[in-house]
Amino acid sequence: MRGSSRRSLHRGLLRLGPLLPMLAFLSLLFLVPVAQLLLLSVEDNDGNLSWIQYRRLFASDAYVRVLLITLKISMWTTLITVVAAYPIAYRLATSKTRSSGIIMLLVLLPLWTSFLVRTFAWIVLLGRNGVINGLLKWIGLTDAPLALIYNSTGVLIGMTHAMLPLAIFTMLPVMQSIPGDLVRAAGTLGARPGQAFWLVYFPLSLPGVTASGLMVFITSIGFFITPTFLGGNGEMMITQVIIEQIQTLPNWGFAGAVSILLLLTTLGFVAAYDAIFGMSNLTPTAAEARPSSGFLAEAAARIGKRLTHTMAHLAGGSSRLARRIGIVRRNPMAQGKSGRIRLFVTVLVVAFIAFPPIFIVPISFSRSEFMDWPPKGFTLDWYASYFVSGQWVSGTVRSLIVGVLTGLLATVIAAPAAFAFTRREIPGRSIWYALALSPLIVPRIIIALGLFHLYAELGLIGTSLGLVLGHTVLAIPYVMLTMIAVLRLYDRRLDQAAATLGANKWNTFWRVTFPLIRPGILSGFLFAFLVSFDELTIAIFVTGGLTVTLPKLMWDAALLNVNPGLAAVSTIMLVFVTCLIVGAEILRRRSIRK
Amino acid sequence: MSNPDAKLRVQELRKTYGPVVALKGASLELREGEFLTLLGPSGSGKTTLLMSVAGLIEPDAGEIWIDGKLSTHTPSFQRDIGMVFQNYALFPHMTVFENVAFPLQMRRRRDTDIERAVNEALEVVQLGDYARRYPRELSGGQQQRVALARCFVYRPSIILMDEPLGALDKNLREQMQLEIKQLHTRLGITVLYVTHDQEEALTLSDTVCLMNGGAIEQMGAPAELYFRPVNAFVANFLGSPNIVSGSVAELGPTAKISLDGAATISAPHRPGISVGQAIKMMIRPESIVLLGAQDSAENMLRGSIKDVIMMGAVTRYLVTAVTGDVIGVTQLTREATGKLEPGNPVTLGWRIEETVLLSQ
Repeated sequence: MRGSSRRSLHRGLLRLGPLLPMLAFLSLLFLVPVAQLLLLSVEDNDGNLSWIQYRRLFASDAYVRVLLITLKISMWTTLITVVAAYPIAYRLATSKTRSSGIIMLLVLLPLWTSFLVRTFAWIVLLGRNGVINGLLKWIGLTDAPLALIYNSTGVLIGMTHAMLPLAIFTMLPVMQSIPGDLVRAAGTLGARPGQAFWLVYFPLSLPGVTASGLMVFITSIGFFITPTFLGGNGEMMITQVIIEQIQTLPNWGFAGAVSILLLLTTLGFVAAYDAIFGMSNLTPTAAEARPSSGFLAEAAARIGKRLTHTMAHLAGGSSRLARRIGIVRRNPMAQGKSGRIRLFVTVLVVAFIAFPPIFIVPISFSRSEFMDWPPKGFTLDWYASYFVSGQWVSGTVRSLIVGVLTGLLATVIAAPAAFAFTRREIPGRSIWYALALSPLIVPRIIIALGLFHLYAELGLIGTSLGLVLGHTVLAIPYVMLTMIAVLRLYDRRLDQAAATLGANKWNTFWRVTFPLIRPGILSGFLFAFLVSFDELTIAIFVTGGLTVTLPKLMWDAALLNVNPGLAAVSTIMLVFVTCLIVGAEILRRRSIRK
Repeated sequence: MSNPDAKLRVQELRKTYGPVVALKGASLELREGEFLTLLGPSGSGKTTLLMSVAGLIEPDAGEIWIDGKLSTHTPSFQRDIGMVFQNYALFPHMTVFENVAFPLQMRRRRDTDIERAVNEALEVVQLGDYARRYPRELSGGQQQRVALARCFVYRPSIILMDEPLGALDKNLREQMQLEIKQLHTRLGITVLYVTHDQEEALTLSDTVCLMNGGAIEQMGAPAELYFRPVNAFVANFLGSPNIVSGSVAELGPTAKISLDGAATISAPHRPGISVGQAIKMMIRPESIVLLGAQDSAENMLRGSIKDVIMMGAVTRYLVTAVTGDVIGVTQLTREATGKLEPGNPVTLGWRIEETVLLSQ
């Protein structure tokens, strides 16, 4: 009896085996530092248990106000982003034409572009002497420049731009899983196109919409780069407050208390989402998605149903009316007016997503001291000063090395975990899965502060090792999700076939499995590299002295003075990352052809 | 051909996808209450034809008349057709009741009428107790019945079915065939059905329309196609017949066909053939008997047993004829028939009418 239970425990641990490196890594470098930070918030300066930090936090309404502003900006960002993302995702999911491939590429484009670069692009576009104001003046629509930047308009534009790809790719899988036959069936049963959309397609796509809303919202809460450069004093967000707390006067306890506030807010929204829609909706297909039970969920379902029926009624009524007064096309099967409107919206949103970074390039050759539009004259001075400056070059090299090491470490840790999650019965599966994904949900600033405190004790501040470890924490969930997606598609009968043909486990893996999933491993590695290459939050705290990375250098320089030199660095980054992606794509194609 | 009472009239329908011709001028008519099956291998154009009738594919040329109205370019929601899709296309976010009510709501029926009609329809398919369930909570056969109920609940002019039993296993498929047939008789509905399964087509249909390469090869009652195929494609598609080549030796009340001089076979005369012409003919394996020493038949062919295969209810003999052709013979299994062994000489016999001359 005893022996058998011990044996089953032993077997359970054995099955956990491939997960252990990841669990150990995340425990040491994610759970422990975050917990430590949270503990600091309930200590006074002498290390005694105390609520002093929280009393200070709520002594004035300043911090609560910052939190409310943060939530308000995030809410608007989410709303605009999801509404703009929907037609693009719909188009990508329902049409398989060549133009869809191009749209896909253009939507992916900003994901390859540094976050800082994209923010600088908006400075060029939205500034007093920026592209948009220049254009408006040239057309003659305005006399004085519009205030598009250093206010909430600028912040919302920048954040929406940053969040659109995430929103599209979160809702896309759900939409792709809706069988086309359902809408066709609604048509044969007598539903007009508008009714078929609102009564059948839209309700089935809702799990994707809500999941994408949650992802955008909780990511927005942690933003600080966009409001720093595109916002004014009224758009100060909570992460900015935490950074200020630590950088000006390192008050750990108080920063911990603000972190707690941020973390609880984030988790509160995740829990509310779970109560209403069910967490399983975060990675669902339309057929599997089911409303969770409970009062909130039922209320939401009722409201949703009423809403879609109203929309369907309007759609049906308007198309009947249009037919009666004769403004409708003779051949209703051809693309009509609504198709043209949809095309216009698609082109507009895709252009908004893809083109801003391009405006950085001409600015980098400008003789002006500012990021003005149009660029004045032509000079290579900005590039020259990049290449002669030892600091910029060594920062670039350090970013590259840290990125490659992060990619390798994250792949080595996350790949076995992905195998375990897709192929094994693991005791406590959902707990480990949640842990692996939590670096995506917990605001980065909290992870960064936790690591800062831990590294201060371990003497890892200012080391490349510290950077690699920190970036790996952030990269693990990305690599794991990429790998799981690849492994789900992998036909395991190939392994079984290899086994029946006499291959042992080792040979099966190296001769059959590995060659087939190599493209997936490569894209996981690339993902991790890009996460590290673009990472600023951890870099702000953990780098120091000679070990700065490129994003940290850009951040410091931009806080002092936003000039075309940053455009030159941005252009170099654009060119470099484009080469990297194109190279990886060529490698991938070649390996597929083999 | 053009009958004004036809429920559905398809005229010279054409459709191409780039260089691929999916339909090259197909025409057919469907009477009220008729069950017509489009049968054919994949790529024969049967699904393209069905989808055009449904309004889900726009044909390049030709006309579609539904209930006397020209409907070639009418959107599907205005066609008054019903369609059962291959994977049923039940709305996963609606209950069984809501699924069946959907077409009635689209037609703005009153709620009380809808409730009565839906409950009636569910009773017909024996799913009265499942109204509150979601499709995913039903078995494959039950989902199939919901799809049927959703289709006939609003009494469309025509019901289209696109391989509706393809996803079911063999036993359930046979049971559902029976149920569809009963529904058809009981409700008097007009059905256009698509399948690649010849047995299913023969079981269900009043009329079978056999398609190949985007064109209709032959259309007629199941027995007509089976016993009087017009060409080798039709003959080969239904059952596994013997097809033998010869040349016309003599034309009288019957046609005499010489098999390379080794034997002569008689067949019913067929217009359009002449002496000396090379020709193919079909003899069904179940039409042939193994003759005893004293027996004789209208057509006789000697040979020797090549193989004996006991398949259960029937036994299949492969016989190498003196002409060199290998002829299949199917007979009901009797214990005594086990006596024949490979190498035994044997004489095959069949009647004149059972030799069918095929066009090239």
